Amino acid sequence: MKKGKKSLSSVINAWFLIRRAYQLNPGGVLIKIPIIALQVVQKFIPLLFVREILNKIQLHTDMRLILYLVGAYGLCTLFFSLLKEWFVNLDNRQNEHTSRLMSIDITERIIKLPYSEVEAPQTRTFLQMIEKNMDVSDLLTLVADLIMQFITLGGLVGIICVLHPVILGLILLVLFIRSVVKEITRELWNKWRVPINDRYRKVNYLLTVLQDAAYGKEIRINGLQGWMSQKMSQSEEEYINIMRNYNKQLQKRNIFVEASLVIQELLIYLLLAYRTFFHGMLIGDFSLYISGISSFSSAFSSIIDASSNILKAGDFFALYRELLEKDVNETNVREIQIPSEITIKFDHVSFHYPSNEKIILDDICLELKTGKSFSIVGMNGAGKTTIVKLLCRLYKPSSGVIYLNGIDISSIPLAVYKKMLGVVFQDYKLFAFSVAENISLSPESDSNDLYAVLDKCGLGKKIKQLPAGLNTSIGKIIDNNGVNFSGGESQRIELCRVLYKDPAIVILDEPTASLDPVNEYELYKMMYEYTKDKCSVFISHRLASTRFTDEIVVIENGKIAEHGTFDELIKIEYGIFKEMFDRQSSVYLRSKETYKS
Amino acid sequence: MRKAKELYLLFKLTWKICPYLYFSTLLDSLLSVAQTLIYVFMPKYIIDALVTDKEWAEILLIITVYIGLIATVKIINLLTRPWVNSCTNRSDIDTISHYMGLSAHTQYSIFETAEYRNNFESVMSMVRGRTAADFCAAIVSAGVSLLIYAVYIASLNPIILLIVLLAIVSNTVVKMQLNRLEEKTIPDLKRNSREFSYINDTFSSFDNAKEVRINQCDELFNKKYNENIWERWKLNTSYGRKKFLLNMCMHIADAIQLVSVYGYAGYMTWNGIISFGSFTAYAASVINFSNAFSKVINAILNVDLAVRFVPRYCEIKTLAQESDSVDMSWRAGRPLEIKFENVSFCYPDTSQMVLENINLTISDGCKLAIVGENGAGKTTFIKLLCRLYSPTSGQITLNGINIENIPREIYAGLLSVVFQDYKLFSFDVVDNIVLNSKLEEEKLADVIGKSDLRSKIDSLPNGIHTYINREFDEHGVEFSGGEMQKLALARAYYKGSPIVILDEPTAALDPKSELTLYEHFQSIINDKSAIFISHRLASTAFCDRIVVFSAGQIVELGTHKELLDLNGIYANMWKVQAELYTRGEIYDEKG
Repeated sequence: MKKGKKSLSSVINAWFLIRRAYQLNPGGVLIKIPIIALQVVQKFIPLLFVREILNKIQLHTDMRLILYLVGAYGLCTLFFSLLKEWFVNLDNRQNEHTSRLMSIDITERIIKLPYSEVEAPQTRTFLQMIEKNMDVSDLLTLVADLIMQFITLGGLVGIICVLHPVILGLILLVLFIRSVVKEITRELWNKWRVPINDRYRKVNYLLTVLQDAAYGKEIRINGLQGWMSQKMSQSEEEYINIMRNYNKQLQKRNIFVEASLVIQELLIYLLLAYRTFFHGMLIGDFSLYISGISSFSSAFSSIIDASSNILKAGDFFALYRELLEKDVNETNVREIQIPSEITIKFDHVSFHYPSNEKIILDDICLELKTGKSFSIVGMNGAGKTTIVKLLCRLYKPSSGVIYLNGIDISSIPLAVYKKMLGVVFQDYKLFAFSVAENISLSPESDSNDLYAVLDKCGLGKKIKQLPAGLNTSIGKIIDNNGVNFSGGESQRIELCRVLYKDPAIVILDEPTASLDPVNEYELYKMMYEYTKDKCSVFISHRLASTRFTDEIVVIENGKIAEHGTFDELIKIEYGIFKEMFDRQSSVYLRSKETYKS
Repeated sequence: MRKAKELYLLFKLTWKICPYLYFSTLLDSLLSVAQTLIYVFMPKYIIDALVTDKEWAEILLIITVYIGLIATVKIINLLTRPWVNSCTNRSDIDTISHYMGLSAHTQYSIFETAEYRNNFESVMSMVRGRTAADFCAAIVSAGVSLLIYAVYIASLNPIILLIVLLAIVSNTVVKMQLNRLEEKTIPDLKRNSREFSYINDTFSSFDNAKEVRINQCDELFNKKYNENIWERWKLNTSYGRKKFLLNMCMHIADAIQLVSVYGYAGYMTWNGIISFGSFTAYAASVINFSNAFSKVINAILNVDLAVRFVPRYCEIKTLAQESDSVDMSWRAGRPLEIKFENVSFCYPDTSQMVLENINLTISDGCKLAIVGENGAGKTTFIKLLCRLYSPTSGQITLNGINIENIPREIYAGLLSVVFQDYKLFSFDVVDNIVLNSKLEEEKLADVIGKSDLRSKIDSLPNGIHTYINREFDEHGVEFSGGEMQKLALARAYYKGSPIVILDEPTAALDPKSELTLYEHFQSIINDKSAIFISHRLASTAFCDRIVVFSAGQIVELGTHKELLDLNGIYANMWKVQAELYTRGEIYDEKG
């Protein structure tokens, strides 16, 4: 019963996806209709013509009539083949189109998912499954094939019943055995699927690593080729072994299928021979029934195969549908006009990850204002970046509320809120698109505006000198003529992105980690000027930079340990901030003496 | 002649990679041929027996023999299927591993180019075990069927055989045209597919998840994929049209063949010259003859196509090998002195010099700091030192020998490097630190302590056997940015090479960790040679010598004190950074 329910839901999900495919690309679904019709016709032409020809010969009809029949057979075959070829051509094009549109559909949905969901391992596994699994255009082809086989089946049933209804019963019995075995096979696959995919994923990971330019340096510098090759052999062996064991189990079940096929063949020949021998059936009909029954069996087994493939992908369809149906619309939002002066308040905010009880942030109370700049400092893993993530609405606080001008930020439309944020994370990545696109993140942009921000960050001259200027691609992945930028230059392009957006809230996480001292200083000076009328948050390990900011917050173990201006904190004896600062400056102080002398 | 040599190479290399595939494919084909032969010829005897009024017992006997033969073939098939499938799976993986191995041994400067990658992908899809094995299996098995069917059809009438052959030849020519068309179109299709994958992956990948959610990227995404999809549509349209015209020729030839065979065989049967059983056998033979011929032609065409890629394969293989000028017997020994002699470098296909006339000696055991503004050429200098790229002019020598002439493996063993964009593997802590060195428990514990990872490791559920992310183990633990950097440093320490190179080794570390690490640096690096790139001049201050790069050239060189006295670029940088920590003078506005 559970199996039945599961099959039913697979069918419903498959139907849902076909409907979605139709919404995205109606042509891709409609083209299947002529394809189905032509395939059915093509199946019956040989059956019927050959039977007529053979019968007429046995009955010694006029030779000319027979020759006309042969000619007609040739012409029909040609005509329908050409027609089908033409439609198949259209079908191929549509299939690729549909499949791409659906990939994009999925990506658009993923983009709308909240960050916390995308981070969860189940989602990651699911996303990997999507890449590897059935394409929706494959589904369309399968379903079209299914319908075609059903229609063919109908026609063939008519033919076979004329022969003897018992034959129909016999064939159905054999087919029943086959479907039972197929079902058992599906159960088998479900049992083996996860361990097989696990081992396959390992193999795939190694292959990906070997192709990745980023890993390329590590592998060459450390001479890891042999090591990787060893790991690959290990993973490969595991995968091959498990596949072989799975196949052995599979074959054991197939024995029943093959045995039943052989018996079926035997009984059919016996019956047909009996009919011809004792009841004078014509040879044309004999040949028709042999072909017809074999077509029937193959049509039925195609149906079972297609069905089982559709059902096998049932889990995948369910997840896919879940993704498409997810309500990513915001609830409880109201249209808001954001004033130019804003205040952000963290009101007793605590946070822990959804699947983990460990408290990351504990009772955080902060107030950020336009025109005020904040530094957040603390040890690695203390929770600094988490505060930023909450402010960016990548996560929701586990308790407490973050207010913007007294309004809960989760009730502000995301699109509006996003416009107010300009963030550079520690692990930012540039896209392999053009410099202009990377900065503006939009298809069109004004080159004057772009150069304005580039000049601010000290990159204007370099970009102008490039042959393709703002249209130069970053990195060589898509474009051979792309340019690789150094670590510091990339960081500055990221900053340009923020400057271009000109948001009300600016958040920079280690913004100058890759910059040399002079440039770092220049940049901080520039950022200080720029963020005078913004609400800005800086995270940096270079405590000297905290001097540029109005207030400093020290986070330790998820709590605010110290809070105040630079001058206030540096005076606290045995204070955390003072200790960190002293440590960092000790080297300079020691050397300063050397310098002085 | 050259083709024959290339063909031989194809067989030789695929035999080396996956010899078993030849046997499994052959077995598979032979079984399938046997089955078809049974289906074509056995019914003939049954039909003839029925039409010529043989004894019922005889008819039963023929039917039993027929069924028995089918059953035998099926049994053999069932028994051998697991083996055949596992051969196919294995050969796929073995082939890709072989190729990946080749690319891993290719110099980075070539490996990263799009040109190499495109070439590589097409070669890998063509020059592989399946092509060669399918070819052999097809020639043997289809060849056997061809012979049998040809003889049988000729016995009806040689002219029919001729017509059938003509139809086949015409179809073969058409297929070759189709292949040529495919070859011309595939590079564009592949490029388009790759772009599409990149676009999709970029916006959906977890790495970019934050960026995509904080900024409004919808329009950009739309533009990118729309351009791509419509390009694909246009490519498919013109490709499809040409395919249709070619296929039309094939269908016409098939129709002519059909009419000839049925017409003639029908006439012969009508006149009683051949039996009814023979009629059906001839009709079936013609179809199967064409199929067998197609198989052989396809196999030949595929191999022909593949063979054209063999020279490119050889190129790839050569790129992966050590050049002839390498002295394979060279071994490293302290003292090690590296010299940059008049080295200049510009990236391939560019004319702008990134490094100009670099002359520098890195003596054994010296601690060298490299500073300079962004884009000055520091990281490029390191990349040349690591042999990821080769100098455009000048040479780099190690103890007097050009490093290009030192065996790659040996050279790699001399360097412990942590790049700014280092990468960790999705394995456990041990694997990431020890990599391909020998595991020594004590040494590992020592290294973990010195890289300030002790407390983190102790907090992990499986200690050093914990995976560093959840890609392969759901009990894996995500490491923070700083923790990952410490792991990368631990890796470099463990390797223990005589030359240590660190590019911004503490960029992601908090002050406490940073200081701990500096304290340990001394004891770890000891008497090894070390090269640091760092913007935190506090770290460069304890080096023996400091090199200042500017616009691709070395502008200052000396000890910390010497450079401060010089009052040049370095002195300025130092002043700017130190002031902020001591008096904050520059920062006037805050007071």
